Amino acid sequence: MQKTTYAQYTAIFFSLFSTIFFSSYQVASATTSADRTALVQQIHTDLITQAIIDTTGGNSTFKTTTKTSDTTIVENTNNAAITQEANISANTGGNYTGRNISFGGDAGVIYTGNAQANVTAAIIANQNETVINENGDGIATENIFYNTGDDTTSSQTATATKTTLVNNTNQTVINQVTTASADTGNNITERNISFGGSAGSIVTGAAGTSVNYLVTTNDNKTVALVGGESEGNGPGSGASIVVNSTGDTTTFSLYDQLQDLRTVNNTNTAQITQSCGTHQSTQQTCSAVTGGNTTVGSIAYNGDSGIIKTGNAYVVVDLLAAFNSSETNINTNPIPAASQTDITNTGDTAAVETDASITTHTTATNTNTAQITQTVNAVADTGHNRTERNISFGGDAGVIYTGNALVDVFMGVLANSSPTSLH
Amino acid sequence: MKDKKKLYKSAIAFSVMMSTTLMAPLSVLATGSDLSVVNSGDNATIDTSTSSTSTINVNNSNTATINQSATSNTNTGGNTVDGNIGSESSIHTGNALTAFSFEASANENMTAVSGNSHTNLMIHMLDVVNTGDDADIDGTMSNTLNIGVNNTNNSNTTQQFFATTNTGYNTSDGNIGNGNGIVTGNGVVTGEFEVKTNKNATVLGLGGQAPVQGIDGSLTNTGDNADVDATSTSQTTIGVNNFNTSYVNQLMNVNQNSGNNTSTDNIGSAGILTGGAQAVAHMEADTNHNTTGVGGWIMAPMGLNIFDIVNTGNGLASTNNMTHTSATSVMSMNSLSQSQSVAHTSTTGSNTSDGNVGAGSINSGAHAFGSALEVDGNHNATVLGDTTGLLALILAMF
Repeated sequence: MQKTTYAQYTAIFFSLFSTIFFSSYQVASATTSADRTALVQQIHTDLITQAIIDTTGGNSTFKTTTKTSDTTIVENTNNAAITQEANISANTGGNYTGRNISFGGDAGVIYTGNAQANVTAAIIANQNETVINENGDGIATENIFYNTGDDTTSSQTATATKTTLVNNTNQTVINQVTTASADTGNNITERNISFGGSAGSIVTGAAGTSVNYLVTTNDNKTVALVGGESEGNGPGSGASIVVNSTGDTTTFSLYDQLQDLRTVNNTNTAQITQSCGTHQSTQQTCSAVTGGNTTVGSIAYNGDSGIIKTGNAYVVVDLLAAFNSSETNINTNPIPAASQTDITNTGDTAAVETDASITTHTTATNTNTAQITQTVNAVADTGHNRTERNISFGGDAGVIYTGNALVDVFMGVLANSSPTSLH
Repeated sequence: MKDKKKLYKSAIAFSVMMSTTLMAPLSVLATGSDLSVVNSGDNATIDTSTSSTSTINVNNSNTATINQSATSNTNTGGNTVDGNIGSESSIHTGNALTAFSFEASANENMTAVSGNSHTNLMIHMLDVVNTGDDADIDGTMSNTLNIGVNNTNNSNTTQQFFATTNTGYNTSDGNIGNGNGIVTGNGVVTGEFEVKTNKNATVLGLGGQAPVQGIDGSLTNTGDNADVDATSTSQTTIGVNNFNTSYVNQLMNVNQNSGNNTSTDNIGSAGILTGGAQAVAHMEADTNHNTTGVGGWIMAPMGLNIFDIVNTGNGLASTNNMTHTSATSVMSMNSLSQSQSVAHTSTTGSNTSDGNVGAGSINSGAHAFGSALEVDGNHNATVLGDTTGLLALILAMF
């Protein structure tokens, strides 16, 4: 019996590559190429606000604002309602021989072939795979001031906000129902006469019912590589400030803020019913029957009379359901949220204020609800045979050999698995 | 069956493998502010601050309702040989075999948090060279780390199996011949019940390298009345909560018969030989396991304020404060309701040999019943600090 392995099914993935939304601002004012090169080499970031200012006048005010906002949203919503029904019947039995007469041969003998009912039902549904890979999206403020004037006010603000949201929502309702029967029995021979052969014998083939169900559904795989595999170029917010001031009353402020929000929500709901045979009492079963044979009133001379030999009856049922798996792997490179400030001042009454803040929120929420019902009602029958009033001269009369009756059932459930890795 | 179990193992192997990554040492990168001031004027005021807030929440909520039910009826008996005439008029039944296996695996959570990007390794660099008077320098750094992991599992598992095997209830009546007996096969039932639910593994660790959190400052001052304040504050709050509720009901009911045969009024050999009745049950419930490990420097981050001052002026005031607060709580609550029930009835007797002419003996088969009922539930393993053996715990758990 060829069975599809679980590994073969789980090796299949649907791949949805996420949309990466990326916006940036680049503002460049008057530059000195040598200084810029030096600064770029100093901190390795990609988005740069640069201001190189050389002033000698008084009452100067400089203000630099850098903002970047990156929002990545991936939403996967799957609904699956699947019903698979199979009503299978294989029958080589139910034969009748009666009132046959043979001279030198068999009379009223029944040989049935095998009866095999196979059902394989496989469902792979609602699988999400999300990969977010962003490289080198840090920002930096790079300012150089050469100031000789008095009463200078300089203010730099750098704000970076990065939001990554992945929502996977799966709902699955699966109903797999099979009623299968394989029958080589229930044969009747009666009142056959043979001279020199067998009379009224029954030899049945094997009856087998095989049912295989496989469900793989509600599988989420999220890999958010924020910052990618580069060398520390995450969603940073940095500032590099060089101030050379000789004037009096200099006020310098730097406000550097980074917010990084990462949210992954996986919600899976599965309601699965797998059944082979609905009820014993109503005989809606998965059954294999080679029995129930009858030989009555046969006569053989120099042969057997009323012999019943049944084949084996076997019912093999495999039910396997693997569902509600949410794998979340957030791999974030270190955030270069740094401010580098170099101040050289010779004037009086200098006020320097720097403030750098980092706020990161990482939330992974996995909610799985599973309801599964697996039911098997199986019957394997090689008995219930009857031989009556058979007569043999020189042979056997009214002998019953039944085959084996076998039921083999496997039910497997693998549900609600939520591995989460935050690196 | 063993192949299927291997598949299950491979399905979770990736999860276990993932946990191994967090044991790798991590590099320490400075994240913070780097301020360098060279000042020669008077009345310089320098305020610099760095703050970091990191919040990590992992919430796992699982509800599993699993019903596995099988009813099996295997029969090779119920045969009738009546009124035949020949050299042999007998009944030979085959075996009635039933094998079943239930496996339910549900509600497994594995959470691993590692990597310094989540925990804000910070260093605040402040270098001041000052020759003016009345310099006021304040450096402030704060670091807040909150990690919350909540695992809530509810499982309700019912496994039921009802098996009937019959090779008996045969009748040999009124036959004439040399052999008119009844020979029945064996009835064999084997049952495997396995429930594995509600397992949580939480590992919070950052390897063995200790980072520097604090202010690394230097002051070279020649002016008078310098006032230097360095304040570093870190707060770490870790909460791991595991709540498991498990209800397991395993029931096996077996009724076996190879007897109740009747051999009457035969002429010739008419004995009855019944097969045996054998049933084996293995029930295993493995549920409500929590393994929590918090290790690496996340438990005790090294705070460090370093301020090197070279001063030649008068009236230097230097204050260096560092405060670290760490709170770790692990709460595991398990509720297990378990029922394992095995009922077995077997008959190889109740045979009748009556009124036969010739041998009419009865040989009934043997009974054999074996059961192994195992419950392994409500285990909590918590390791704080050294997580060296944690991986072995997790591997054993899954």
